[in-house]
Parts: sequence; C-alpha cells; structure tokens
Amino acid sequence: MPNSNQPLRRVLIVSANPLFREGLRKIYAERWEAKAFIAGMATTMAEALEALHHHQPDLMIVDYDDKTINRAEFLEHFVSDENPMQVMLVSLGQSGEVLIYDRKRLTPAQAETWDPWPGES
Amino acid sequence: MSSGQRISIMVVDDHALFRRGLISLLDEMPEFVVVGEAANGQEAVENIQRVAPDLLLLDINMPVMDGIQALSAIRKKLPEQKVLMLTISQNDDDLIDAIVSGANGYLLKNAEPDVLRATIQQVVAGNAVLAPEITNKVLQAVRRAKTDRGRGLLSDREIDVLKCLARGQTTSQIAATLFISENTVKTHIRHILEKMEVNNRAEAVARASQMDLI
Repeated sequence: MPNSNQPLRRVLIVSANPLFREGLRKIYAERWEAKAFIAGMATTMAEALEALHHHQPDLMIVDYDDKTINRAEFLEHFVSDENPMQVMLVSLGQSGEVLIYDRKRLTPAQAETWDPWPGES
Repeated sequence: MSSGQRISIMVVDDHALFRRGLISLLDEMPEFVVVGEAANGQEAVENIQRVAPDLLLLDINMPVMDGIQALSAIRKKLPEQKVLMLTISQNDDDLIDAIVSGANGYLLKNAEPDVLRATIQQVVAGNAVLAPEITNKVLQAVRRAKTDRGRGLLSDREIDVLKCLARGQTTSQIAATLFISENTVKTHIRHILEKMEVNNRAEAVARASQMDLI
C-alpha cells in the first residue's frame, strides 16, 4: 500500500533510444508504482537539462551514449548542482554495471550524526 | 502460428535492463506473446527447441556465445526458424555475418517501438527486413563483392585494355596507349571475351561497367 504521508517521488528518464527509454518507463512505472511516478522523459542533453529544471526529479535515469547524451557533460551538471537527487547511469551500449550517484543535502548537525553505512555495526 | 493468433517471441539479450524493458513493451502489444528469454547465445541455442517461438529476437554482442554463433547453431537445428537480429551494432562485419548466417532481419536497438512491431510482423510473414540505416551498407557490400569477383576474374592488364575499349579506342590505338603490340591487344581481348562470357567488345565494356571494373 502506498504511504500517503510520503509524496510520490518524481523520476525522469533520459535516453535517445526509444525502445530502451520506453522499456525503462514500463518496468519502473510498474515496479515503483507505490513510491514514484515517471514525471518526464527526455531524448537529448538539452531536453534533459530543461526537464531537470522543470520537473526537479528525485531520480534521473540516464542512458548515456556519448553522442546524444554525454556522460561527462551530464555529470558536470550533476556535481555543480546542490538539490538532493539520485542518478542512475545506464548505457544501452554497455551491458556492464549500472552506476548510482546519490546526492544528499544535510545540515551540519545531520552531518555530524550521518551514518554513511546504515545497517553495519 | 502458435499461441492462438499471437506471434510468440523469444528475446535473447545480455543487457538485463534492455531485455526486461523490451519484454514489458512486447507484452503491451496484443498481437505478441513473449514465451522465453535468454541472456546469451548459448542459453538461446539450448532452449529454443523447447520454447519453439515463432520469432527469435537476437542480440549480437553477448558473452559466452554471441548472436552470430548462436544463429549459425540454430540454423543447423532449425533451418526454418525466423530470426530478427536486434542489435546496437552497425559494424559491417556483424551485419554481413548475420545475413550470411541466415538472419531474416536486422534492426537497430535505436528503432522506434512501432518500427520494431512492424518489422516483427514482416519477418514472421516471411519477408526479409533491414533497418533503413544499414540498407546502404548492404548494397555497398554487395557491390564490393561483385567488383572483387570481377577483379579476380581479369588481370590488371586486361582491365587496362577494357578501359581503353570503353574510351572507344581501336586495337592499334590501344597498342599505342599501352606500349604493346596489336597482337598482344587482340590476345587480351580474346581472353576478356572468354572470361566474361560475352560475344564482342561492346558487350565486354557493358559487362565491365555493370561490375564496376572500369
């Protein structure tokens, strides 16, 4: 059951490849139905940056191909911004590991008690 | 067609996210039913007879066994199996190898879902389908093969003689151009006509032109 106290998280999918983009939308829309919704999709770097500003997503899933959507250029924007956001970097061209970046914003007090490895003693 | 009137499909791709997404998309299309999946060519070869899909959607670059090797192995067991390559590769060798190994279609992963949908239907209907982006590569490869075959057929000197004939030169003019005797020119022309299986100089020039030799 969805937690009514927790607002649905916004997810933005960025991919120049329609089959991959639609496939990601389909699987995550179903899997995260109770927690998140697909707020938008983008197909180019310019669209992605505009959508980032417009939707203020909690999570961006970025399929970089280094032609249409450049990984390094995207990460520059990611690092220079400050709002809390997670990024999942995937690539249709590479079936290897998926990279997750998790940008958090803490107060100094929160930072003092922050546990970067929750669940470990 | 199995599964009622729906086209049954087996998806083979090592990229789990792409494979799962693709299966979700195909499941949304009422005319298709996904009956199996595999993460590499070997799994596909081992399971295809049991799964018996109408169509195999096959990636090329995969670990353990790639799509071309899998296609060759499947063709030996199931010569009538419909196989559509769905790949990111626009590499000439992959493309030609897939066609030579018996692929019924070749589509790129950057295709629109509607294009994939139409291509699957075309391939299952018995047509061969190539992505528009790569059709030109295939035509170039065929032309190259034809030219290579022609170049293997004739010697460099015979091609020089053909070029002279194409310019409308007479035997004596060719002899002067190439610094050889008229008898040698005639011998070259006789060999050219024999090798190209044509009856006269005009036909030889026309055939050579078709073969991109001149």
